[in-house]
Amino acid sequence: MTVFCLVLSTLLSVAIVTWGYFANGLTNQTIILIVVGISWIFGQIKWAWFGSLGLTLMTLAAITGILLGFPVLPMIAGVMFAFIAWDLTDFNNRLKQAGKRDDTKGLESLHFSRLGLILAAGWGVVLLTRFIKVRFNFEVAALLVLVGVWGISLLVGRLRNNE
Amino acid sequence: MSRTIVLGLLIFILIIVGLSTFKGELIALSVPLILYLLAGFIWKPERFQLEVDRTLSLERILPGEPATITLNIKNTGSLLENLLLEDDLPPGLDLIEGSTRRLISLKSGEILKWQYTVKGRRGNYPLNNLRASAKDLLGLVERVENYPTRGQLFILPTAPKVRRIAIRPRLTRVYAGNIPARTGGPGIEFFGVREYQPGDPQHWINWRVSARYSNSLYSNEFEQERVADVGIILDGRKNVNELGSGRSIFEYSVLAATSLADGFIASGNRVGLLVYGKFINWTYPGYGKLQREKILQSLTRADLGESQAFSGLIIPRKLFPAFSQMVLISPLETGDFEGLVQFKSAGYQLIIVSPDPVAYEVSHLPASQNVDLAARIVRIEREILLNRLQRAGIQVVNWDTSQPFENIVQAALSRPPAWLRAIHSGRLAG
Repeated sequence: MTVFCLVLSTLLSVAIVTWGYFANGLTNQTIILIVVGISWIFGQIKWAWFGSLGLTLMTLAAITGILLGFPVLPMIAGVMFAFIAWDLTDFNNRLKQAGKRDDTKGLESLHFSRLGLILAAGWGVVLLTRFIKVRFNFEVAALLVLVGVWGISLLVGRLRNNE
Repeated sequence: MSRTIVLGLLIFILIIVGLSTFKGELIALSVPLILYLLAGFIWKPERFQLEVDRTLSLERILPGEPATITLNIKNTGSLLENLLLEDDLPPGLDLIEGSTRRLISLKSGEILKWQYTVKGRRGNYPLNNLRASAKDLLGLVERVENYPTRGQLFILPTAPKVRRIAIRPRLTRVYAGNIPARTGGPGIEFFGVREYQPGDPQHWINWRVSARYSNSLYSNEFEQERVADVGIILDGRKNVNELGSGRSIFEYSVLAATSLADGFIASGNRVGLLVYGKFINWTYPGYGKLQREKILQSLTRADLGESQAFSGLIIPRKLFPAFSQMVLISPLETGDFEGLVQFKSAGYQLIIVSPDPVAYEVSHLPASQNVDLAARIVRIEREILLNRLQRAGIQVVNWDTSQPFENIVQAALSRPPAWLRAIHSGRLAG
């Protein structure tokens, strides 16, 4: 189940982002993305860090796509699928260490339910932004950036301390 | 790179690029990632507390025999949703049933009973650590703890029984045993005739000799049988024991040492063991079951070693009582000759049990003309060495390891039981 979802989400992520580039006539970039996608699919089987590399590259490609004016929702969906693949790569590596008698199905269902919850909430927020538009002036935006960066740094720091 | 850092960096990029380009979608895209980080923080595993108890179905087994290891693990802390337990098997042990890893969820107060079965090669295997790693279900935070556990598995060397090994050291100890002591007294085998002394049993009187002398009677004297000091030297030099393609004949040497030590101790002798390899491992001489156990444990741990200091065979004489019986177990190499002769000339009775490395190596090589020729040359070299040792008064037992050790020892070193010797000497028959 995990492996199937991992491969499927990787394929979907690469396909959606690549389609965005292809539809806008960027052939060279499309080829590069295809190569990256293939490397990602095969690389993550052997090296866990390929998942992080794939997520980073797909996110950067999606950001570039959004900035170039590609349709937003497919680009966001591409990143979401890359994010699922990244999560499942790590989870799959953990599952590989299970013994034969371990209840991996139970762990899988628990993991998928948590991940589904987070993605549903995230996707909901993304959809909300399509309808709710808030305008900030520069000072408020700068303040929000500072607060956001500080908050995320704090969260990452706490998580790192717990490792 | 840590997954948390990867996620944090991506969130930063999305927020900064989103705000600097006024693209709300990019900021919105960071929301699922932030939620993921938050979820990891909320569901992170607490500092976990486990009680680990290890039991072994058998602590002493023979090579190839299975032993079941049972771990009872109680979670005395909070719920652990994603707990990976790893019991590292020492090299030399093979898993035959179950798993040495478990990935489980363990509720507070829940007990996990975990069993797996192993077998392995001769050796001493400490099983004293269990690694536990708990993660949140999203895998962002990991806590690792090592739990010390008690337990060790002894895989003892196999030892075929050998009895009544004939040795004749120059010096024996005072206690009665079954080694001829070169002294007259009570015993079985005829030793000589002496003048009758009051208290001599009547059937000891040698009437034939007494008839020649009218004034006095003469009694037979028998050879006393006592226990002796026996030193066993196990040659663990890597350069001597290790043959082509990493094959080693050392296990046969260990088998011989175990078997002989058992035989000598069973006969009441005082036995010591020296394992000569990387360093000198000395088991002080002693008697009885306790000594047998000490020697067995030492042989269980015995391993090949490589050291410049012990590349030649230099036996430390101070460790062994003068004129005692020594048994060297070694495949031998040409350079060992002088050391052995010197040792013998110091007054020790020396028996060499030599597992035949040539026959062993040839049995593992494909048959060909070149192999035959090479084997012939090496065999001649070995035979010359063994002959030279025999001429120097050293008893050599060349053991082709394809033959059972007990048969070889029986043929080369055995001594008939007392009742049989008595029949041969004619005492019972007369």
